Amino acid sequence: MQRPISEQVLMRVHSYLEANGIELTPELSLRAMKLVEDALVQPDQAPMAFAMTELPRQFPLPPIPLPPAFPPLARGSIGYGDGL
Amino acid sequence: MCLTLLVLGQTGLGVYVMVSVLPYHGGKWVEQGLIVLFAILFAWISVGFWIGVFGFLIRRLGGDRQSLVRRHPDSVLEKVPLGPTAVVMPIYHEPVRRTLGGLRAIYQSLQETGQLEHFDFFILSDSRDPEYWLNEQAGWYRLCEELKAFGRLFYRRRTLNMHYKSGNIADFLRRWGRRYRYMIVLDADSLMQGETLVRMVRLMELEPRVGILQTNPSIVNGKSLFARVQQFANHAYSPLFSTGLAAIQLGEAAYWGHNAIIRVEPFMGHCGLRRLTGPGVFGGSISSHDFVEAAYMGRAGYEVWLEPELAYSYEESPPTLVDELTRDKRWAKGNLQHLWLLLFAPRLRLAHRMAFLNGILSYVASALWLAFLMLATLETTQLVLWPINYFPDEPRLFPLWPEWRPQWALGLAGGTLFLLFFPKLLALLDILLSGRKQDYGGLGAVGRSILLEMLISALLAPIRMLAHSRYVIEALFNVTLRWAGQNRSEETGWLDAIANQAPGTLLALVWAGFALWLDPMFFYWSLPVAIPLILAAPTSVLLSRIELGQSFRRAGFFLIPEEVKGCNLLEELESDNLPQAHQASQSAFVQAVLHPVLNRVHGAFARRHPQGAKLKRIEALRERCLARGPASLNSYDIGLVAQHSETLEWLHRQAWCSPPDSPWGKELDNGFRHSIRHHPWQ
Repeated sequence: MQRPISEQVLMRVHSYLEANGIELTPELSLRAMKLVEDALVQPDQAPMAFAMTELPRQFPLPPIPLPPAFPPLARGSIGYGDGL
Repeated sequence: MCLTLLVLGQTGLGVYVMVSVLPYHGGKWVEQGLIVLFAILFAWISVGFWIGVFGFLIRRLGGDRQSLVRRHPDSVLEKVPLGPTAVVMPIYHEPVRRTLGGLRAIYQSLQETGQLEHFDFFILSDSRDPEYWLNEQAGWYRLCEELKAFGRLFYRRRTLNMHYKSGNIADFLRRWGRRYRYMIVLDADSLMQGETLVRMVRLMELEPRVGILQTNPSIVNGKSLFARVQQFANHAYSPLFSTGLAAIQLGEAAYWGHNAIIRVEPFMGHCGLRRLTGPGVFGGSISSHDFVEAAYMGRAGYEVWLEPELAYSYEESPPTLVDELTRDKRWAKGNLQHLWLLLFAPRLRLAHRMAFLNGILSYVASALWLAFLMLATLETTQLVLWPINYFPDEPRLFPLWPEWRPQWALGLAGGTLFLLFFPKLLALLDILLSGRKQDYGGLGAVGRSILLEMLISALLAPIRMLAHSRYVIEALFNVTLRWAGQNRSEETGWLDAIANQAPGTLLALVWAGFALWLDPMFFYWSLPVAIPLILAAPTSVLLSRIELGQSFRRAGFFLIPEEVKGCNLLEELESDNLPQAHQASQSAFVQAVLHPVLNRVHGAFARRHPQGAKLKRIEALRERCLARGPASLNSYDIGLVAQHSETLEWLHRQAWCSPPDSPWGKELDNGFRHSIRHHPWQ
């Protein structure tokens, strides 16, 4: 049997928070359920799209520090030993 | 000079016996061909024999006093400050987990020395398949996080893969070479202890004329029986041969392409590799770059040293015979290219020209051996089927009587076997005399392992000979002689092995049958070559078996010191706790789209502003990808999408908003949720 849409939206919200490394405290769980409730009652968008669009605005997602992929350039050239 | 005299003298003696053995004593063109081929091959194995003997003697006399590492006592070395050093690992479609696991072990080992601040690490990727490079990028980020290596561990992927590995290194040097005084080059399967890296940098600081310092990597981590035999042979015999080789070459050694430190400035100034301008295989990019770079470094007035006493430097063996032969195909072509440089490159040192010759002969010797067998068959056929010709070549006063000296022939065969196998017995003696037998599991274990290794190497030699001959012919005539697809899995299957080895097996059956029909004595003479070729398929399959390799290990065969005594680097590698960059059930691309962290990571690597038709193409692809799921894109399309940061970000947002019954909704609800549960990112 297919799960109700409310459960599916809540699972998606939980997954996204988990994927961002956020631990689901009771307080956050309540906020997630409130987000689902809002998604279900608003008339303009599909509940899933609404919830996932709103999620970044309603939850403090942790910053993702990206390491530098490479250091500052120090350009040089390759020689062929022609001057020898 | 001493080696040259010994080899020439020994070869002269061998040729004298060979001429005596031949019925017409070189009076026919077939016999003259046999003598020439025999002389080259005998000289070739004589070089190996004497290098082994020299190595044994030097080790018994306490080591090479001329070597670089013996010039500076530890008390002096410890006080030498380190120059800035880049540790570079060029990769191309390598297993990410193993490659980055090795790099992590090296990094942690270096960290333990307290000298990490002098080193930067670079993963230099040439990978083209997005599944590989997305995994590499994810693995790099994971490793940076785990090791707290932000700003010390870098990743660069070339999108234009010119000039193979040497082009990848040159690309790195053009961008960042001036930041570093030294560069330590690793292979994807390299392992090196931090202490060794530090010692190499200090030696380079103390020896400003040294351009390249090459370690002698030991083979480890063998799982299949084939790999375990190779690694045992490497550990048991290599100390002798590398010591002998290093003592002969001194500052004119070769560079093997990895597990070596390079002085960056002269390397950048003098070791650029031009395209070759000759015909066929002697034109185009140089594929075996390392010998050439060593020769150019020597030409620039710098020394190149091989230092076998720099320990804790490791690499891995190909897991199967098929993998080894696949690698040899590349190397054979690359080494043959060196003939052009050997003949025409100006101002190279003689030692480096000899290194080219040595590399060329590594493969051409197989073709010469095959030619020798063909001429020997022709000679026997003429003797048996043709009437005796008393005036074989030119008019002469007296007839030439064919004579056969079986004792001399046996003596010659025995002498050849002695040259081939005596250094291995010397290696056993060296292990015993240096008190290392326990490192190999004791006297019984090392003794029976050497005996079995000799048997297996005798079984493999004709198979390698035939394959190498084929590679040489293919390279020289610019053709590809295909007879079956290559097996690239961990173990070789029976069907693959039979398909691969069938031509050699059939050839050997026909040859041995012909020899039996011709002359029973010739039949017996043919067996050492024919039997291994007939058994090639089962040999290939059985040697590739991992379980068989482990059974031999449990039975005390082919043990190596790192297994008996333990090795921190290997234990770290085998702990295998590098979290997976993606789950097997989901591709790296799906993870790149769905995972918030990975999406940011890949987005940071991606390009931002493609325009015109390319942008339109990407926009069409992302719409299709969103509507029909990741399976709707082929590898090339995925590469386009994953290299566009805005598209990656857009797909991420849209995929998470997808309804549960859409393709992306299913990816999220099934595989992705599982992967988050079992492998949380943070």
